[in-house]
Amino acid sequence: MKVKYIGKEQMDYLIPDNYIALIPGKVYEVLDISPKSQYYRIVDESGEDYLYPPEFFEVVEE
Amino acid sequence: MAEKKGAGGKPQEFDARTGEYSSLPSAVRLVDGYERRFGKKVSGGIDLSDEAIPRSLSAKAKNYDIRMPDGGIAHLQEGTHITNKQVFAGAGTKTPIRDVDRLVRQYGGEAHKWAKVKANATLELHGKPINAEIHWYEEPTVGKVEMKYKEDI
Repeated sequence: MKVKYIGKEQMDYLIPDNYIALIPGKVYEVLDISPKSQYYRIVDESGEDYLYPPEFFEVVEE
Repeated sequence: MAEKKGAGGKPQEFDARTGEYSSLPSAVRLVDGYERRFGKKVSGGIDLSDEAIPRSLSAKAKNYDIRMPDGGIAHLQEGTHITNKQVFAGAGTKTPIRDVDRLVRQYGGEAHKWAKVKANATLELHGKPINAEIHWYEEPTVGKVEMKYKEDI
């Protein structure tokens, strides 16, 4: 599944405590969905996969 | 201590603690063992020793903020330990940190000394303990920053 990050926040050193390593409008591949939380596991801009809430994204390809 | 000849005719000593013969003097083995058990494990300048989260009234103030996937903050449970620390990118590894320029701009330190570290820890979220893998960035002169939940373990 592919999803687009629709949040406004991005990795930006000017925003204190902002650890969201996603770029607005960029499409990411969902590696899996956490059975416990239903969160998406995505390789973010840090190069590592982390869980993110589904409401951060718009599904662009099932 | 019993003594016998080892390979090359070197005298060997029997160590009753380990049940083994060794050509190293017992004093050296003892010091080495002490360091292995109680000394610091270091990789790329990062201390990988287990770290205690103290129980105290002020512990919350000293505790780390750990970013959860929903943007919320969890803390390490007091009286537990951060264990199994491993540097998996940056200093001392062959894997570069993608975000190293931002880290230097934001926190300082030297680019080649930044490391990305993972470990196991017990988090406290809404009053309940969670055993989790956590990740963070660390530089010897800056310390740990951007602690993040990775997954339950």
